[in-house]
Amino acid sequence: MHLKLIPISLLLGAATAVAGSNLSVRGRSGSEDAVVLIGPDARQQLVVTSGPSRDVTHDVQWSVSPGGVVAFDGGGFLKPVADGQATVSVSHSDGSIGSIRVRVQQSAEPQPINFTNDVVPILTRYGCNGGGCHGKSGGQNGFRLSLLGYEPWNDFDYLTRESRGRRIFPAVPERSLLLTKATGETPHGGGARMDPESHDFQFLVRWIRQGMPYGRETDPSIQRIEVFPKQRVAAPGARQQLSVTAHYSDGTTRDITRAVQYEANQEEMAEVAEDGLVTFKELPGSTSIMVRFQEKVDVFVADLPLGAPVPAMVAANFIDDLVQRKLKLLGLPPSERTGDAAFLRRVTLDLAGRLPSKSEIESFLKDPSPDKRARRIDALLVSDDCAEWFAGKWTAILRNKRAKPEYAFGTYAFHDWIRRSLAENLPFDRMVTELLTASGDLGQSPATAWYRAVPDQKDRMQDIAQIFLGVRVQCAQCHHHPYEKWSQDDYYSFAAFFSTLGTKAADGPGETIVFHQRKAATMANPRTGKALPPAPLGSEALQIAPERDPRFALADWMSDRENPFFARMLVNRYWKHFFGRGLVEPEDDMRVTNPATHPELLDALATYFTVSGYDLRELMRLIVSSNTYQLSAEPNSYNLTDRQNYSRFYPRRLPAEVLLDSINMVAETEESFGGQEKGTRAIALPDDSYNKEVYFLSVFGRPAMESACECERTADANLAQSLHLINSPTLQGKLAHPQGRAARLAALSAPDQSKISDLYLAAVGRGPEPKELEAALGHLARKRGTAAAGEARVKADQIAFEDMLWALINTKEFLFNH
Amino acid sequence: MRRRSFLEIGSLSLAGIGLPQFLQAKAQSGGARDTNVIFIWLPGGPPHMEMYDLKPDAPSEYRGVFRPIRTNVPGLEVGELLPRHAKIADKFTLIRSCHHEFADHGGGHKRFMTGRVPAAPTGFVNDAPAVTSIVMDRLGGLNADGVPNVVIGTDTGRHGIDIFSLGSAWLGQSRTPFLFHGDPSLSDFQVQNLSLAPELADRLDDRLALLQGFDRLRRGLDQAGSMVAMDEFHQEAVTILTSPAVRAAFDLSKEPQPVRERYGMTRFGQRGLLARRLVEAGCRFVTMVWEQPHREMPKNCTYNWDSHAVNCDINDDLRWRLPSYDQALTALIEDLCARGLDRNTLLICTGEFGRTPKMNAQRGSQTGVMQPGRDHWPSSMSMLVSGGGMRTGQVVGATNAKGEHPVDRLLTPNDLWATVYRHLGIDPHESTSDQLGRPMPILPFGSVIPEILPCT
Repeated sequence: MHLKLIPISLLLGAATAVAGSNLSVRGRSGSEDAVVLIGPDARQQLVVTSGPSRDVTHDVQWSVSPGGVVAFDGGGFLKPVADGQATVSVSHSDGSIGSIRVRVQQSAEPQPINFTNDVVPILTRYGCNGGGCHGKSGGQNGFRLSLLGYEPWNDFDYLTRESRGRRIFPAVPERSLLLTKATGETPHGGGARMDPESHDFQFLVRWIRQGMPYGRETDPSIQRIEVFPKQRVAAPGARQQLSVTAHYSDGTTRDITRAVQYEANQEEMAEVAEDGLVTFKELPGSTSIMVRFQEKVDVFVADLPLGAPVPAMVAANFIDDLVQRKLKLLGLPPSERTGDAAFLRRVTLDLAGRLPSKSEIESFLKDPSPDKRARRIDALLVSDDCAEWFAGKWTAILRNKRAKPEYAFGTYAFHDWIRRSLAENLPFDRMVTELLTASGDLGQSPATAWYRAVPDQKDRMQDIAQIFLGVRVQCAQCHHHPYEKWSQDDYYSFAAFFSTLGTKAADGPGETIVFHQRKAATMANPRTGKALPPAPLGSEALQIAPERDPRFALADWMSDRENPFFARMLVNRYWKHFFGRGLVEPEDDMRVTNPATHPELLDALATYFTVSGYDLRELMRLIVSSNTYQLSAEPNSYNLTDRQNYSRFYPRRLPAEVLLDSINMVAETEESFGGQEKGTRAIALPDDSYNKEVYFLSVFGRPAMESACECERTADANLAQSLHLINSPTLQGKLAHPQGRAARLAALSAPDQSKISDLYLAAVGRGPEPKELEAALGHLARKRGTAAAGEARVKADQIAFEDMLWALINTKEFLFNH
Repeated sequence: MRRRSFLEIGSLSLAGIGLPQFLQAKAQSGGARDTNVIFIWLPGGPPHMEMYDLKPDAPSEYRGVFRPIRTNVPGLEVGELLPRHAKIADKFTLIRSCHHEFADHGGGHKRFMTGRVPAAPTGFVNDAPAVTSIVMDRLGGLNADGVPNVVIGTDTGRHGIDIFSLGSAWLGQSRTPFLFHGDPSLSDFQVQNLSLAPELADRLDDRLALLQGFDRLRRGLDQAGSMVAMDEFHQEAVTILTSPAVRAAFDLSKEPQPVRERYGMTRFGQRGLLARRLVEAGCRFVTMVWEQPHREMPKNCTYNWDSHAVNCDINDDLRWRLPSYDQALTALIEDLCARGLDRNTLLICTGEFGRTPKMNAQRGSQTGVMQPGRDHWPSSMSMLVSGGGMRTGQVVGATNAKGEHPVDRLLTPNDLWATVYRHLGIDPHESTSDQLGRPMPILPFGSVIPEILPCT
């Protein structure tokens, strides 16, 4: 059924637009102005556009003249009837019209079938080879297919030869098990999936009748797919018909609109049907639809404006310019700039992983100078707390796991190395190079702890790709990546960078020495058996002499200014730290089919970071100095539902360690972690081992450090957290601690009002409002009852203050960064 | 006009988006209604050759010292230390042909609990979600009465979620089942964090009232849902804390003393009775871990079912352990039947593997004398199944003459899980998403065990 497309210009002449028309009717990529259908299986989805970008494909009347050449199957979907030429016309109720010419050839001559190009996509489309069905390793109920059809030669064997060919019945093709299972006529665990009347069913029958050809070596192979349109600005609630064209190695094209898989990247913003019709929902912003066919992918991006007037915002730096450009495009006005108290709390939490102290709050609020925010940022950036807090972030994704008690020496050393590197503001490329090329023992080179934590070379490669390049290659270990260009060869040739590494036991218990073994780096693709030399992702293989440790070549490639992944990944990860979502989300899954909400901003940040010499501190300064970061969390009339345009600050729950430290700070208590000095803060803990010991940390989602994924840190709420906050003896113990804040305030002789202010300032960084003060004073009075001064009164006061502390800790104002 | 319509839709979508799936799942109350599972877990590996798969004709170093006894089902025999089993064999099915490949406690736990082949053969932290978390994901966290749907009971000190490979892995913390610990045979037994401390009970109302006055931050600030979710969970937590249904389910003092004694005043017995009470309260999946039967342990016995010679004298250990087990399990089976719960409640009893068919002798680390024991053996293991409307009074599968491996009806833990999911109305072919967004089937392989399905 492969189409042989004759250049349109020869057939029909280039210009076919009808004079006076004002709707554009578009055919296939490469031949937009006319449609040629060759063979009975050829199809074409037409897309009708009014004006520059409004899709009206499903709003127009369709007609064709003369009749009998093509027929419609749904809005604008053409199929051939008989050879000839015709004009397809459309008319809209507003009076606009348009047309396109169509030519049908060889409508009675089925084209030769190629198994890979023609049969496998059907199996994929009906979900037969999906990961939940026959495509999972080992198959389903004795019948397996390669996942998503990436190994057509195997699928051909499974279908036609395995189990003595019982799945195909050439004598009566319709009775083949393949087809009777698919239609549900023979009991099928997957149910009835295919209509016996459908074109696909008839096509498979024809394939069997033709003797189940696999195709010839010289048959064209798919080169790329192209979705139309690629980008649109659309009104919320509008629809957009997509059309998809496949380009083959012989220069021919084919419409595959109804043969591809569509996936909406943000289902809350747009839905997509199997025939490529996108329906937008009401959320303003950017969204994308991924299109997948065999191993090729493309993406459609839409911007959905709200259309409200957007007042000019003062730009502190280019972040504001680029965020605002998008807000203007969308017509989404941003919230106000946040107040000083909220800013101080936010920036202290994000940069230093703690609440601001009482004196910090008081002096900041008193300070009248206009540059006080900038000065506060500068002070926080160089603070020990900042290095401590970010060291915790990096130790988690670098899996600083104390798998055995004797690993403690290494986990402490590694944590300390990260913390020092951050405190010294070591350029990030140097830090990564030191990590990547770590050799020797833990004393000389603490970063070798990472090699101990991740002993498998494939895992090492996967971690490096995910952490520093934002590429999730795991899928390509066993099969071609379903949403990406990465093949198994790419996977194993990238893993080959770690193939010369050796480890041997060192003197200390549980310690190892990491070293380069003098041999040529190579790794075999287990499917083909081919030994592959190291190759950076998306680049040619490198020639590395056996005496050279290939990791240096890897580090050089990664920190090259032209590296397309490295800087973008880091800035995206840091962006997410401060905004709660990445410009690409998830932050470490950067691929063509998962586009950034603000591509120019991502590029500009990456360039800034590269030009600054990979200066992490400078990047953080840039981000938190932006007015975008300093917007209020309070929504205006328009932006309540905004989650990706940064029209306001998105609140998020405090991370586990910060929350525990904050509770201790507010309750004036101290934690004792095993092996750590009393009073050590949770953000300073070196490894994962404390999660087991302190239930609070695990229940609030401190990372288990089992993987390189930042997603291990959860900000999820759950029932166990609520039970813990409401009712745990641990928390009650802190509230009621004899040296705690409640006891101190109860014993203090000071006006009740100032005591209540003290509580509020500590917990939420502000004084109580009149109503809150009233509630608090009322509670105090009720608890006191008739207790006169003296011990009974102090006791009653302590209980009242405990209750107030409890209530403050349980407010969302305390639990969230906002 | 534009703005207004947007706002209206905005407030509509507020209810629809961002709420965690947990709450959605709860609202859907998926699965077959009113079916439950009681899962009795015997960590360490119970000895199939002494309990449910005796080989009296095997050489003496294999068959051990205990003899099989007849039961009320002709041809179905059990070990002599299980006399109460013998009287009600028509009420259970023995599966003798289960096996897998993981001989380490950690690997065995992970293999069994997750229905997957674990990445590492040792270590207890499961890399894929345990069945309990999947059930919670599908059926929701709480039922309409505020009773947690998935509950796990363990000994104190053994109440970490990772101790029995019961972690939620990629399903996230919100799918961590409700875990309680303690010895319910003690008079001061109570469930941690569940019942309010008496001195706080009076204060909760005060505190909630204060919280209402203090909590002024609008939930509308947070569209990603965690603020909304936290409010919901806080409400659920308060519901649980104040729910008479939950507290009543855990309150064994409400049981007549003869019933408690019928189960046995042991950890096994009282945890078994709690399982029945939880099922009655609407809990969908109760896991009860039975390790040490009761507090006093003779020196030549061991903590759980791990009866290596270095740990214990296996014969003495079983003479001490099995009477409590026999009493508790048969009481549970009979009680479920007597109350008509056996149609809807499926009872399963097993451990992570069987034990070496050939006995050995070593010096016990506690006793200092040579004593007999058996080691880990995943190649064959027995499971007991009862209730759930399943066919009972039969044996499924068989091992060879020495009990070394199945010779008939080769089954794996996954076949059991396929049967359990069917009972709960959960489609094992559906998928959950792992942390990389890859679809992971609920059960990657395994088929329902047709021999035990209801006759209908």
